[in-house]
Amino acid sequence: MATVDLHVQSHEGHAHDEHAHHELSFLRKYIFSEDHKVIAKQFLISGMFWAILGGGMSMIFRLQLGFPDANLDWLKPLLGEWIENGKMNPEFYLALVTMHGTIMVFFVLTAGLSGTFSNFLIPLQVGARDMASGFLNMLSYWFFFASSVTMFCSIFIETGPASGGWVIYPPLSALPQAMSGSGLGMTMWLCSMALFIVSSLLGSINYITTIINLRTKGMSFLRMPLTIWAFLVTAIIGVLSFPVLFSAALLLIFDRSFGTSFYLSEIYIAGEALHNMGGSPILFQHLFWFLGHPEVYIVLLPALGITSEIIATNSRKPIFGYKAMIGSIFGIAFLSFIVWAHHMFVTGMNPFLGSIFMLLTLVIAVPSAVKAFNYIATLWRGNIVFTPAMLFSIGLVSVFISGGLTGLILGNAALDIQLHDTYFVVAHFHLVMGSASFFGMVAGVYHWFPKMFGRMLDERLGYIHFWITFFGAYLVFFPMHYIGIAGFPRRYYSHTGFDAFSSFADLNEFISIAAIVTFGAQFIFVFNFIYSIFKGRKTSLNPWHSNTLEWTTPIHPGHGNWPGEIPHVYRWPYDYSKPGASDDFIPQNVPLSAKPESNLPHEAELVKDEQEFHSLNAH
Amino acid sequence: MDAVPGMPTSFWFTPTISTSEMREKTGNSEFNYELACTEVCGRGHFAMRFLVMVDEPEEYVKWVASQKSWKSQNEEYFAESLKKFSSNERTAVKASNTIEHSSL
Repeated sequence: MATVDLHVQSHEGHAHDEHAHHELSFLRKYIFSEDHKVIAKQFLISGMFWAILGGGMSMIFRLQLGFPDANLDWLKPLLGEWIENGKMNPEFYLALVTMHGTIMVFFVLTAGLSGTFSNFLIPLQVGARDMASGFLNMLSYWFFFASSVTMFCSIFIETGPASGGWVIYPPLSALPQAMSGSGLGMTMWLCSMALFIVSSLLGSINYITTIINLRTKGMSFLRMPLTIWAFLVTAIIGVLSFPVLFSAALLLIFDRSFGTSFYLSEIYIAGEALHNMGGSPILFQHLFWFLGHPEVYIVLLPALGITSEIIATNSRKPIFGYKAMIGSIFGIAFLSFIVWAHHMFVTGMNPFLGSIFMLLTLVIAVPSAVKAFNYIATLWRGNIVFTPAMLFSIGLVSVFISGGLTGLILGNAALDIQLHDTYFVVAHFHLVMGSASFFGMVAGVYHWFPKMFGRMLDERLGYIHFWITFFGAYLVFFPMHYIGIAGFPRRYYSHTGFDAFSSFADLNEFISIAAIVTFGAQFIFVFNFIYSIFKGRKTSLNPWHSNTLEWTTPIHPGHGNWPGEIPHVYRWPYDYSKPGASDDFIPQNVPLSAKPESNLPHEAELVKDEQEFHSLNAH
Repeated sequence: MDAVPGMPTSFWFTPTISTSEMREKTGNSEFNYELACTEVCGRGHFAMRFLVMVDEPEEYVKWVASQKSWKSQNEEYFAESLKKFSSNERTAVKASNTIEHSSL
């Protein structure tokens, strides 16, 4: 087994240093840190900041949609000139929608989710001192930070941030004359995304390398927790697809700034002919969605991995179908690359090609259903412990199923003609991707908070947070299906101009109120988070009686994670309620020979190998 | 169906209920089928509304016959632009006509 003892290496490195074992300066310890645990917390806190900002933006545009006649002058101190005579500027509305999408998809659910939990859990759960390259890991965070600063600044420029939707389709995004947000705001969006992609790739390469090369002794691939499998496959998807978005963005930069015509064909603006000829905006959509669709799974898979771990732990049962879970992760990952054109059924694509993409899209239902089934089968007759993390994980399974079902409807090329770009789509992906991933992320924070900060989050606040969020998510997104079936399109500043849509005014008002309450409930979590870091109940070593390796580290793991030798691994991570065992869990580092009463026949055979392994290691 | 610059796209459908039938059905004498823009296209995206009239074939023929030409509705504009056109532009038009003829 390939393991590198970084602990030993770092001692050798320090030998050249005059002050061996000196404490790191504040700057190196908390700001420019190379420790994966600190970087994870940096990602988490940045992600929470962006979540509040991105969520807050949706509150502003929900006000506009729910209360189209309201006077919004009271928002003037915040939004300034974007409120004109008590009304929101329509271009600002589009800017809000665009920023909300970009922030939530990339900054919260990609960086905030993968960045936090891949960084935090990979070394701890595979038994490594740190990431393969701490320096690249630090760079990954600071590229993300630079990307965040660029995006944040773009919100405050006079012409407003990018406003062509988070998918930034040209020609709207390519022509600065098209709308004010397509000027400097769009340039900054593209720069920010380029930096973001660099950050994501640095992170992903590090995750993959660490998982493949730095596993501790005995941690074979089939003994890895499902979290690690999910992070591994997510990173692989990211490495394969993000460069394609980079190329799409690069060509768009060329079209915008250097006079090329990759995406632009003959276009007149205000009677003036542009010089562009022969390009195709469809090319952009192909390149964008070649990332854009895998991105959905980059967002979702880590949440599913976290859920697998939490559901097994808190059901006190082995995960149902461990290998099927791994297989379905790979199935989803593979299929995610060959379904992108289902976002483009109505772009004038050949209907025959559409039917192929429809078939491939619907096939994703199979691995997804395997996962949903396995979650339910794991819960079945388990001794369920309803911690807040467990509730959020079960909530994830719920929204994953109800959001996934509408995916079958949208994946149908014929039905998509009616539903394309309506609120039905908005409802679908906010449930299956937005809410599910968000639930997974929050579940992860509740579950691993003790490991991160050595204290527990308050449970009662957690329960309140869960129930409001769970009902809130359904109350907000479920009615959107009806509005969508009626044909109400996305990114509409107002629905009052259409007879067909103005009858949904009440429903829109209802959604807005539900959204505001749900958003408000997130501050319970923010309060709980900040309060518990300083004042939370102190945790025990293994508060959830979990099997994975991170709970074998000290309560406050230092640099290098384990003070002594890294524990060896002798079993898979799901030995919960094993018949014959005295406890209802057997951690991965407990040898089979230590629990002979619980060994299955084939494991009893393995005890001999284990003893041989020990005698070899002794020399 | 998306309008794609540089690429003609088309889309067929067969309506089964005409506007007047729908007006009876809904009891709303002002009912109209509405066409809405679905691909975000800029500031006025939300206001790109068109009315679609679904009619019986005979009614449609009658309606077409009753329409006046654009010219007859805009006599003034037509006369004015003809005046402008006749003086200095005529030669250019002639030239382009001969080019078109020769290319045929």
